[in-house]
Amino acid sequence: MSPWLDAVAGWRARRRLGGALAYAVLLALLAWLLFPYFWMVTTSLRPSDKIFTPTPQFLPRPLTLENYVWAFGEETFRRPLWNSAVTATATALLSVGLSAIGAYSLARYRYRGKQPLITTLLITQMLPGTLLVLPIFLLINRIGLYNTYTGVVLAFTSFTVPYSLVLLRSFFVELPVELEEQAMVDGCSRLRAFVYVVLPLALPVLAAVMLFDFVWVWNDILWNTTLTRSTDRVGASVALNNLTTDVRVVANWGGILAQGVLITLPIAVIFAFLQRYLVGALTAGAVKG
Amino acid sequence: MSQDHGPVVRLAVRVGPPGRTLEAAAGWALLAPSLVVLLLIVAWPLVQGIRLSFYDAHLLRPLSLAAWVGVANYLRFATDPNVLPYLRNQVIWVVGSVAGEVALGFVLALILNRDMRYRAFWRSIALLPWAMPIAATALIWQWIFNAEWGIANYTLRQIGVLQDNISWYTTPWRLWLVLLTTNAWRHFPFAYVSLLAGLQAIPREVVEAAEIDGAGPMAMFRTITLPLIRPVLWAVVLLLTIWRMNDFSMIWTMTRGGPGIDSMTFAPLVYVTAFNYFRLGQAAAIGGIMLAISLTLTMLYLRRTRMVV
Repeated sequence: MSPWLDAVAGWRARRRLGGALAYAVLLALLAWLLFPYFWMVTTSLRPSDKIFTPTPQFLPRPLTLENYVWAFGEETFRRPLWNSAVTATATALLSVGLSAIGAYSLARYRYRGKQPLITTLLITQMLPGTLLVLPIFLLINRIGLYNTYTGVVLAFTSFTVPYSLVLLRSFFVELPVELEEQAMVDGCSRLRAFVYVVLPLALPVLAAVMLFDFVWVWNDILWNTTLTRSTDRVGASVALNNLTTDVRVVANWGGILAQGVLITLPIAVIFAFLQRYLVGALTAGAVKG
Repeated sequence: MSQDHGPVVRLAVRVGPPGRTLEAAAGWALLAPSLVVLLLIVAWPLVQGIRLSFYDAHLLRPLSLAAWVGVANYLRFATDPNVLPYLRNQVIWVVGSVAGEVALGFVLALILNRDMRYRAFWRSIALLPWAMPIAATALIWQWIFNAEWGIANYTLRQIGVLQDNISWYTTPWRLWLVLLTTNAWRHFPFAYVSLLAGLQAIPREVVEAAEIDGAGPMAMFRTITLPLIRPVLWAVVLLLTIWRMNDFSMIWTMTRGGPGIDSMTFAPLVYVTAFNYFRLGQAAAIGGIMLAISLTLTMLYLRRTRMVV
């Protein structure tokens, strides 16, 4: 064999070994990534004598839904679930409504100060939320919006509006400009072109950004903790987290893990729909620039 | 101005500037609603937050009674008997979480950048932790590391590492192990996605040329992958440093900064100082320090990514 072929053979062998190693590492890591999901779901389906046992069963037998019955029966969880749905929907509608036209302006119009503005929007994502929360708390309190839906929704938009602007702008930039130009040649004003040509095309994108805002509100801890107090206003994430320190239920791991599954479910479903947009949204205006 | 350019200039005067002005006006008009919101709930609170840090504001006293105290709040934080533990926690948290996320994200990105079967499927599985709300993430990891019934203790007992169950929260290094593991699990997808995109941007020809030259995996990584991915790596590290430094949710949902102050980092400290101890000015000063560091790192980041020169 020529040395050249030798080298290729050696390289192939090394590569195959590297491939096997890579697979092993990959499978181990993915197993670790999936395990908390698996453990949360299966624990929530165990009767309590199968939860508190010195030797845990890997798969629960028999399965039971009693933890879910308990989870839904708790008013301190059911109501916050509703609160989260209301505030997340309202925030998503408000932010996308506000930022759709703003993002269109950032994507298509030429004017001075636009680039610094986009940079400023990015900088808002780097500010310490715990600092902003202090004056916002004082303001919300003073205008009588403490512990109200309006108050939290208003506070949420401090994050979701800049985020939606950046995200929608990056989507609008990618829409072909020719369609609007065609419409304008046909006598449409720019605004009409936006409303009748761009918006219909952007509907999936608008929906995607709305869902991202929804997820953000659903996950929020800081604003809910600061701006709400009672069960009839607090969000599900915070309510569930507070339950873990509540002596009354702290022993009921099956029940609170069932609640954990329940707050994860809507987000998991949304992410399944958002697969296409996920990567773009994650890195929007961050690494991509 | 020379006569030759007359028509051009006239055209520019007639069409150019007025059109431009109109376009600019329309552009700003469309932005106006968003800008109002941003001024009201980002810019104004930011200015107010900084102002608060120079007053002896107290949550239970009317704000109008707060007196200007200069940098007293900052000095008070610097001379707080617990300032060293806070700093140590902050450094452990930021360095540990950024290192964990980047390491995990990089390894997965490198593996999933190779040609392999079902790659798209593996890639989407790697994003799954991202779909779990922080509150649920905290919950399941608390359960995994539960002292009496947790699967972590059980497994370690089975393989003989542990004789008896241990509490994971009472020893600082174990406490941080739990917090950083949970954080890496939940937050690594950002590093993973960014680095994977960076790896995909490396031209195939470069890789193939190096392979033909007989570069082994290690040489390939050192001479091709690492230099070419370095800009993305830097951007990711800077962004994550800023985000983790300001992060409230993870520590708050897991431990509330406890037990005692064992896991108290700056973000939960601001919250606790303001809402448990009512010392608003003091809290704002800690927030002000975070803001200064964030903005410095942000400038560095913007320079690196050439968004601001």
